[in-house]
Amino acid sequence: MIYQDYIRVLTIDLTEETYVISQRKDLKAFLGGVGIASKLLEEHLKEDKPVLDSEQCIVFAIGALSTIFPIVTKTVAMFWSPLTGELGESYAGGRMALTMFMARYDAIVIKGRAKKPIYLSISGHSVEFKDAAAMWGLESDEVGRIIREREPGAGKRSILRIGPAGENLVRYASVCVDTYRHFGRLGLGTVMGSKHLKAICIYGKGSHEIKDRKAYFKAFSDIHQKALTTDLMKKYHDLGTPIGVSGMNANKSIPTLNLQTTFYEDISALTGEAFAQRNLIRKTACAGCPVGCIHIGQFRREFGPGYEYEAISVSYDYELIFSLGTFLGLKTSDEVLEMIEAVEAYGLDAISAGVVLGWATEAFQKGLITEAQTLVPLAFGDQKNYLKALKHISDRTNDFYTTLGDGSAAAAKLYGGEDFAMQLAGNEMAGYHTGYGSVLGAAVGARHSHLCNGGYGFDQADDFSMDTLVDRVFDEELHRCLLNSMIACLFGRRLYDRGTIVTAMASIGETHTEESLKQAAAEIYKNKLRLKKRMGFDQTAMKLPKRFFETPGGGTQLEEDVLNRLIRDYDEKCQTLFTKAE
Amino acid sequence: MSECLSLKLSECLTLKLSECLTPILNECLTLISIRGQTLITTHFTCIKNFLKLFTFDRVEITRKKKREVGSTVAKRLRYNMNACIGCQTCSLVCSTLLGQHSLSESAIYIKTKGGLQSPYVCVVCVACKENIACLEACRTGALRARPGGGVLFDKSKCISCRLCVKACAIGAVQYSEKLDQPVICRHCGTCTRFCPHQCLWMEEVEEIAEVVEAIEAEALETSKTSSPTPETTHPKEGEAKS
Repeated sequence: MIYQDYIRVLTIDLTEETYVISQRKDLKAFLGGVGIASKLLEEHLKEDKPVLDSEQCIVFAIGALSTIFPIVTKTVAMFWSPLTGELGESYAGGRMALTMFMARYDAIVIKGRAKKPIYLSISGHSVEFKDAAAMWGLESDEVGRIIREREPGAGKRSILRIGPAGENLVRYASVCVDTYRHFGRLGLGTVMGSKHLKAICIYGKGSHEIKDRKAYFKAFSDIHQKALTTDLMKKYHDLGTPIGVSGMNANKSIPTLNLQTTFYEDISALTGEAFAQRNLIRKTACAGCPVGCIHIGQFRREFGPGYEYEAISVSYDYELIFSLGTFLGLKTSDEVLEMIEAVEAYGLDAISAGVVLGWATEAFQKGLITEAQTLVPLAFGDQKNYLKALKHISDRTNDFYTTLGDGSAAAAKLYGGEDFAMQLAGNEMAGYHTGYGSVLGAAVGARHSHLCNGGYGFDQADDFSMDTLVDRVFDEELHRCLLNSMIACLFGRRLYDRGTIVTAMASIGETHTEESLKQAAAEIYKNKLRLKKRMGFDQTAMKLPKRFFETPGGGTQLEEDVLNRLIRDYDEKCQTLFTKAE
Repeated sequence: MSECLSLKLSECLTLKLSECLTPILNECLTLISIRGQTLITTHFTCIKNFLKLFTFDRVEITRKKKREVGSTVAKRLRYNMNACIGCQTCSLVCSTLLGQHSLSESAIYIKTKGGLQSPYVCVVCVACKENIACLEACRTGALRARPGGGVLFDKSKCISCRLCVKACAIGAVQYSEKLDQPVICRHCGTCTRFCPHQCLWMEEVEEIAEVVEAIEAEALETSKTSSPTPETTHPKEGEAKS
């Protein structure tokens, strides 16, 4: 905990309805965030039991600098992923980190399984196990409203909830945090559903007395000023992440029509500018972030005859425009927003949901699956049927949709079409097919996400070189272990270089050097690699869908052999991490 | 470091009260002492009422502290929430002034109108100038009026009765359980320097001259009713002694 020599962990047992607080001095070396969460997951993981066994746990953790410095806004969740069967690691913004910090918990471990549906009400003074039977089956948005009305602390609380997809154990169910942010990837919603945990409300009304007011205020002011003068504001506040849509398309890098191509002819109505001009109604931010990248778009839906309209607003981002837009051949921003509304309501990971539908559409076209299974004919661009399909996935309507709910890898294994099931180790691809960096980055990334190491960024760099790619991806993965221990939003990654982190840490009484932080990051990465091994993952045995090598990424035709060599090189680097230290 | 300025009220009235008082009252915290009665305020309503209560021959005005902000004009915090992104930087910075990382020890409180799908609202002192409810509710003198509106808080006089919290109709007086004291905006403007989207700013309060004129008019009125000239009503110090 800040200003203390220990990490304060709240451990909740849903089966017994008990909770304990522990002050863990041994965890202090792992800084915070992903560092402490991976250690706690290591302690609680039961690899001999099934992934969704009641004894498995969820770990939430905030970082060493959480929310008292600009753009340090995220909470990490670590768990055993029911989608990939290996490391589950996901980040969400919103107010969660702020409320955990104010409630004075560095980490919250949740294990066991409630006898009936419940929600947790967590404050600095208590944990309450509250009946949520009547909420079971309700959509995410509705649950948020109900808890908002039942629990105290407007403005000082964070509300996490799952939708029906999580209850039905769809393997890529998400957790919605404070309406607009999510633990999207890798199925945290599924794990919560398996624990009969519908929602969590964290009320943070406590405080921490500042030790050195002058030092802190100076460090804070400097970083704040720096944040406001970088291009962050322009880039992420004006148009938000969708600013990247037109550029990615121009570079032939945006996965389109199930990655049959990386260039979308009909992009004009899906660009950041198009969304801003047609749909944008407001912008918002995570607590502690001056940027405000969250863009809320509104669309109008006619729900009945006689000019019956409703206005619906949802948050939109680059990744969603790719997965629920270009990847499925949708043509307008309104269509994409309506798809987002559906994945929000059901509590599905927007990226995985879009990508599995991409596979299903192509499998349907190729005759691998029939309408008897899909219930509606699936075709690129047919948004109405995609909306129905999303509902079927969430409800697990039949055997086909149940399998589809297990992810594209599982579905392709059963029905065929593995060459175009666009996933890496079971995690559906993100919206970048920029070249070797994007595929390598996601393949070797600890959780197979584009954010593990930002490999796609190196493809786009002017000084791109195949010779240095492995090193750069590796170094970035390591550096992000540090950023994710703070936990800085990755949009602010250029702001938080090691020197800045050293200064910020010093202002709250934590003495570090750039070298000691580097070492801590290496230890954290090693923990994650150890966890992956325990979960049965073998990097070199990974098989990638052929489509990655058929469709050029960023104008580069990738070769499987070359990529496999890169993966092997990377794996060797990981091995030396262990041999060097031992 | 206090500067003392002695004024004979009669002189003031002759000279024009506003000319004497305005430059001083614009200087933030002033201490007014009249015949041994001391009033620490710059709030005109208080001065006005105080002047009514006593028969005085001399007003002593002590400048206790200079306004730190460059301007000598009183200011108050104002906001426009349409650009607010809900980052709560203002609250986090405000609590720092009380030595805390906190939302509860902040005088400015950002929440939503009704869930995150609705706009953000700002709950903060609006700097009442007349009928200051929290000030009127305070029995111990822990609150005093500040120039430009609102109040200044003196913890040494606070008994944590929370009457000020209850009194504020817009809920702008927060209460810190940890510090056991109310947390009220003192319109220092620190939050405005950190708002990334310029939702908060300091507004100059220009009514000072008007209020001084009102005091002046009232004092003149009082003196007229009792005597044709103030000089005769309130004998000068020297004359009284002789």
